[in-house]
Amino acid sequence: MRDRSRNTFLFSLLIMGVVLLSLLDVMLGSVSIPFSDFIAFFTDGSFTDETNRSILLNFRIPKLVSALLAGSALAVSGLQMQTVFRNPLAGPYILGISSGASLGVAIVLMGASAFGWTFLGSKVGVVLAALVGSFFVLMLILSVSLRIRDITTLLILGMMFGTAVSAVTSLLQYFGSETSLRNFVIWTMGSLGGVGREQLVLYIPLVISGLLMAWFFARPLNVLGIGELYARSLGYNVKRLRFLIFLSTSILAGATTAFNGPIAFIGIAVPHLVRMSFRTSNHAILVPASILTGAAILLLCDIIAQLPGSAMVIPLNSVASLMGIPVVVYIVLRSKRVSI
Amino acid sequence: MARTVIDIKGLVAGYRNGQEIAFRYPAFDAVAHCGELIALVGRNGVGKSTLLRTLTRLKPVLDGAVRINGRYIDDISGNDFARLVSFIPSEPAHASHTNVYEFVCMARYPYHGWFESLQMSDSLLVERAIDSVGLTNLKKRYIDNLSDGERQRAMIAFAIAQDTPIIIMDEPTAFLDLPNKFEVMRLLREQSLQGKTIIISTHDLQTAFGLVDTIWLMLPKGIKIGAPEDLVLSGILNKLVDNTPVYFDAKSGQFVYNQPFKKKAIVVGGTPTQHRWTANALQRLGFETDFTDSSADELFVQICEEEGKVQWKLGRGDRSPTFDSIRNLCLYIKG
Repeated sequence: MRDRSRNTFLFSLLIMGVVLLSLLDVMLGSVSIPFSDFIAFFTDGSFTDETNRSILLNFRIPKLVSALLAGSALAVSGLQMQTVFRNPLAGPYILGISSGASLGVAIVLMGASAFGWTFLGSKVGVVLAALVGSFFVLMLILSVSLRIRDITTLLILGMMFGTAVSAVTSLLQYFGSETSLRNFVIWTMGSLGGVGREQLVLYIPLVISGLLMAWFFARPLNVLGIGELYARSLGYNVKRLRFLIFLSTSILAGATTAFNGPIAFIGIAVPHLVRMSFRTSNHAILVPASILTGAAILLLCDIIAQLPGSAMVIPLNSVASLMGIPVVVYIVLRSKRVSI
Repeated sequence: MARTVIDIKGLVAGYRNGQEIAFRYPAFDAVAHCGELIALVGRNGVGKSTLLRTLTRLKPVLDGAVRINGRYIDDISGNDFARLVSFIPSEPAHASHTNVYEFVCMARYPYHGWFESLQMSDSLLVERAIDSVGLTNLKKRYIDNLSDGERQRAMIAFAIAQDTPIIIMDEPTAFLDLPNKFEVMRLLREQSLQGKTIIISTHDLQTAFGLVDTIWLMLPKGIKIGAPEDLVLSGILNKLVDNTPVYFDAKSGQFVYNQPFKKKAIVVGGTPTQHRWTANALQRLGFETDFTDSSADELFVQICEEEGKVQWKLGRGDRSPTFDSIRNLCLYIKG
């Protein structure tokens, strides 16, 4: 079968790409570590330079893991949202998750400066606040999804919640101090470096459970993509299904935003790339393909953001958009249309 | 007599808007038998889709009961129901990167757990379903790239692959050209001959007449059930077009638009077919051509054939204008 051999080829290409980019991501950075050190580290775990060893273990490897998790989480949650809403513009943040996380972060950063709650301004505080914020929006959306069947209404409500929450964030920004404002803006630019080893303990299980849920929903997602009535006439409980898919999306997008800030573009673009290259709407293929493609692309963005050879780092979000959008525009122009 | 498959008793179909009942169709009884092909016919908005969605549990039963093979439909689990009834809605299936084969495969999901892969027997069934609707050559085509007729056949293949004793389709012949309408009806007829009970809603009475066993005629006040011929002979079919300028002509078996005639015309000569279609054109212009007293005729058309060419002569005189086509005749009359 031609389809099958193409899929095998694409999957092997993606796996090789992820492995290669992972190696590059660990090796390149502001501090250059000699190549021989890597060989030694990967063969017998020894390291000549203690500083380099610490950079690798405490910074670069956690960042690599966080890139892999964030890329796959955003891609898969975007895929789920595009299918459920049957809308090519949907993405992981369509339900207002990132707005919720932003509000949480804004509250601790601005609040910390305004009320002198310095303990909240810490890194852990930011992550917790983002988690609580996205959880708050998630609860709102989930409760609405159990009452309202019409998918367009849900989409509009999700966007309304997001806008309302953003408005509160703007207010906070308006009254925030200059330092806290700067910290907040930097948070919104996205960064993979904020996740330390301690945080991975929470991040890894969250993303893995979200991805497993998505993979578990491959068949119902296929049918939902065809049309809600088809899903219902095949015996699926569509409201319950949507609730669970929203839950999976919120866990993936919420945790990723909490740990890395709102990372743009990946969640909307990767599902389109995957559908076009694998030429299928079968989620049993799209979910693993999105995991690999999302991870690969975010790794590439991170490598570019490090500006290899220089000591500077530029915002991840800018790289993702600047690099990704031309690719997407090219693909859209070539195939004349993007659809679910 | 064939076995009863669907038994409807005192069913009230309708829907709520909030707590209030926004629409309710009067309670009725009906029975569908094994192998019966039923057309649900009624005016726009009478409640055909609502009834079909009530039978397929997409809308709740407001009152009364529906039993399938003796079991109340509300007592059947979602998965069991999906193995009893396949429902093809009127909105076409849509997905950019799903081909016909993948689409029809989804119809097998109710037979497997979420992780069980489809078996050899499933793919055989899917292939057979695709073959029976004549889409084998197109099974790798994306469903979004199919023509309306092909997509409708793919949806029938979906229903066949779902392998249920009952198939319910909402307007399967809408948007199709005439040969495709007949082809869809023929495919459904074929399935009913294999013992499936099929209910479709349709506005295409002409197509349905030759191919369905039974018509459920949904009138605003209640449902009338009979073979198409029963409904014609009893004159009930005219109830469908009550208070409209359309009536059912039992002789020709056609619905006719009732023109308000202002003038009269007499047509003479020509073959019966030429005569019929000339009269048709004049009726469109408001001339009554079928009348008994011939005193007050205003228009006289004579069809004659000269040198193998048909000509229409307007008026009785020798120098009356003649026309080589009905179009030119009509243009002249309209002035």
